[in-house]
Amino acid sequence: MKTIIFLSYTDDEAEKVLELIRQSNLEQGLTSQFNFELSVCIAEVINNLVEHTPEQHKQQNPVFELHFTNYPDGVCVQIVNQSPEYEFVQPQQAPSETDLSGRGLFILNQWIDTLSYRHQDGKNYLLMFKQNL
Amino acid sequence: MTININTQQDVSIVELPARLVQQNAATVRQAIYQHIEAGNPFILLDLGETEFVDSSGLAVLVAAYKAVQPQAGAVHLLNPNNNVLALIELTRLHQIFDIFQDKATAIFDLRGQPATTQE
Repeated sequence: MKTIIFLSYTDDEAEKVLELIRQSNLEQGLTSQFNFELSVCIAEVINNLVEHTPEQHKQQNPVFELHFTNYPDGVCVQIVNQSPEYEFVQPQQAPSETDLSGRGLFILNQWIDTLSYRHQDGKNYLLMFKQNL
Repeated sequence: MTININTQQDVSIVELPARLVQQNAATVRQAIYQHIEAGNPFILLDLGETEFVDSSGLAVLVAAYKAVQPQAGAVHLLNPNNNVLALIELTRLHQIFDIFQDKATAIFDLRGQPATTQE
């Protein structure tokens, strides 16, 4: 089942989409742990995207897309927005315990099985697949 | 949004919200900062009602830990659910926080006295 959700850059939208995804995953019989891990990762991606999208682009293109697909072996999420290319780092090590930032992308790397980013035709495409073991 | 902070035996018990995320992290952090700066360096962060935490929420915990250091205080975590605990361990924060499932034990560990008062 594929779902496309259109989101604005406002805070409440992210919460709504996470609830929709949680419900969809529960219907598919996915565990609470799987749901939690995927939801945290989607939240981190949205936070990252909001942070890296200039205000001018948010005003010109106030909506971005989240494509969500359930497969027998996992869940695929693609987030697409219109904005300049940005550096998508994939840290392999956790930041120091006392650092106040830098954990989001590390969490993504740990909990998502396949993660890719590309910039094409003025759009950012962030694709992630989480396997249901 | 209101952050409830109760005090037992000089330990401030901070009831964290159901969602501790980027959207409310600054508000929660500010409330904790103000309480610590008012001379309350022994903090028990109660995660019992917290269902969802992102990296900004984790940063709130770390900010509290760092804020009490100048006052020789301490921060413990209380009753995270299994999912939140997994996130804490993934990011190695269990190396700087003692984590308790029982409030009285956590208060005792922070202040070295058995808890005698109830909320």
